Amino acid sequence: MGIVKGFWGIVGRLLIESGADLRYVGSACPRTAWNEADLQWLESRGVMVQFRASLEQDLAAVHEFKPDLAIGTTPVVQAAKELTIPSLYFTNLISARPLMGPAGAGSLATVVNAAIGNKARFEEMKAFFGSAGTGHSTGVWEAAQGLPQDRPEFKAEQRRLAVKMAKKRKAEEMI
Amino acid sequence: MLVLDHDRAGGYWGAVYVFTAIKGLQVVIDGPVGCENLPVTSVLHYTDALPPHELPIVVTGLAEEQLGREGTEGSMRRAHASLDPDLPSVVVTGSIAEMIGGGVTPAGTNIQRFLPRTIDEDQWQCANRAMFWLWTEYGLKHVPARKPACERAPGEKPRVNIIGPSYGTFNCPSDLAEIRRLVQGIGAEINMVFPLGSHLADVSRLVEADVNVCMYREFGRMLCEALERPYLQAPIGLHSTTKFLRKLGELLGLDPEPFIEREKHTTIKPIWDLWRSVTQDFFGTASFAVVASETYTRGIRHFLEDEMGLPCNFAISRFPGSKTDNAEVRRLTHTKTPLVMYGSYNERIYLAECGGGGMMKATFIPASFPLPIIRRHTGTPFMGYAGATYLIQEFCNALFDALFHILPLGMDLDKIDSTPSRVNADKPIAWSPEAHALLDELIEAEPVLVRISAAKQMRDRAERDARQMNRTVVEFDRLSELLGQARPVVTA
Repeated sequence: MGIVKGFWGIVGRLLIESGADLRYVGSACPRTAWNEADLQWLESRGVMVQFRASLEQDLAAVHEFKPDLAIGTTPVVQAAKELTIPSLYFTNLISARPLMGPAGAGSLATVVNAAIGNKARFEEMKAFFGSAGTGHSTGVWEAAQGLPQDRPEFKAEQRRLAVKMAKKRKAEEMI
Repeated sequence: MLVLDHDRAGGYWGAVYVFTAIKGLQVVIDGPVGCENLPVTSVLHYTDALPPHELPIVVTGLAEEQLGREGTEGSMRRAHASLDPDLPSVVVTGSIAEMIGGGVTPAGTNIQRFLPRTIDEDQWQCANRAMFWLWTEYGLKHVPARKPACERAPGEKPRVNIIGPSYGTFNCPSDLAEIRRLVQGIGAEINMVFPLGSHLADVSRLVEADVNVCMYREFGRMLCEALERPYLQAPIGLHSTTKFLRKLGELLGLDPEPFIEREKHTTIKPIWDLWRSVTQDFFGTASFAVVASETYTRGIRHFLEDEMGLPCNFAISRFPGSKTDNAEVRRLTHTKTPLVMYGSYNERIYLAECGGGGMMKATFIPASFPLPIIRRHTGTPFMGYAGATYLIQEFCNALFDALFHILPLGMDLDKIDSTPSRVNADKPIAWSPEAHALLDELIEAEPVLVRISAAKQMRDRAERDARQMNRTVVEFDRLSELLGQARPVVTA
């Protein structure tokens, strides 16, 4: 399991000490002397640590490791759920609770196990909804409109216009 | 206390909600990442509950270098590269990009620029212009004359557009479903709902409608004017809806009466039933207040006060382009606390501050953004016949709620001494005329609905207190210590 954003040092250590197989930790912070100890500790346990992590790097880690649970920012969580990976928004459910002491690790386990326990439900939901909400069918639709329709002719026309415009600009450049 | 509570967002939020609602158009926000976080994360992801990948929207993510040195063009090119190159995009500028003259579209891309004027305009003014802008960019230059009803082919239904539904609009799915149901109910066809769910390829088809229905007073009218067709505002209330249907029928050459007749036995039958019930007894004294968009405030006040006869303590509209005096709203909420308060998060806070007033607990009914509330289900309409039924039903439920809060729990009854009996009382307690007058005032300040229970609680408390203190008379000073001064009774 495990993609973590946020107070990564503490949460990462807590997760590993609670028995998690943590693979990646992304942090918005830069690498400094103050987090060197945490970095060494995590890397010695095979965890990939990314400082100044961008959303793209975090998402790449989710795709790469396909964890049982991803803990991250809102867009990381929503992208992971899209991939049927149970996930938790760090600020809502992790950083909002006391992490120090035995009660901290204990409460973390409840939340983490409940989320991971949802895997089967995620798969059942995905199997049921299939491609709803992807491609041309994204967004809000009314039942009265029937099935969302793709409009390939509109895209083709836009492409034709773009090519025409580019040619025109090129011709003007020559003059 | 300085009250600075906002009740709407700035211009580009409105533009974002309009442009993301129409299919086939992609949106680039020119601004720092926070300019995307606010409208997109707080409203589109949370209250509209849309997953990020279902929204064709990116942000340039401006930083210091772009603001002070590089300008925003390069960032925009980068942002645009992450979108579908074959679909048109529109760039909207947040206030920071506007201040540095951002929003300049890179040459050779199909990005168009829309200037939300987010510093000067609010979300509704901007949404109004954004809907009109879609028409000017993708619609027709000349609007053909409307085909008269007599030239319609036999069997061909007259067509109606519904203008205004977009993202980030309170209760939109329910109201839209109801307006659609009404239009179709009298035998017309929905031509387009705009912009929500329409495709950019179809914008020019807006002229195919015979009549437009403008859902909101805050935005959509500019487009309705440009379409050169008669347009009606969507109705809120029972009789308002009947008038709307008759007018719509007249404009379309349709007879709405069979539909209205059917509705009397179905959708609005609960109103007729409740009107003849004992719950209706309380309509004349159970007060309400509403603070919401002009559309909702006008509609709710008219329906509940004029049509149903409920006393309105205050009704405040939020108008496009003008700031609501929220300090005044707060003052009114504290001094003219209604039994039922329709409003946003702001009003909910003001209501909580004054504890609902006296022994009664006022009910808050969501009626406006800003509010953390999801309204994707279509079962909570305020507009049309279904809306009238829903509004009055929930008002009655609020009355039941008020009774629930005033009636003591059995558990609490066991905790206190039993009610003092007058028959066996060794020392009958008298009331000084001043104390009695104060009690009358206090009772007067309670809503009629809960007055009997409140009067009994106050009287018992004062007499029990007198017995404990070995007094034979309830005096004014002690009574006001116990129960406080009566709040001035205010009427609207």
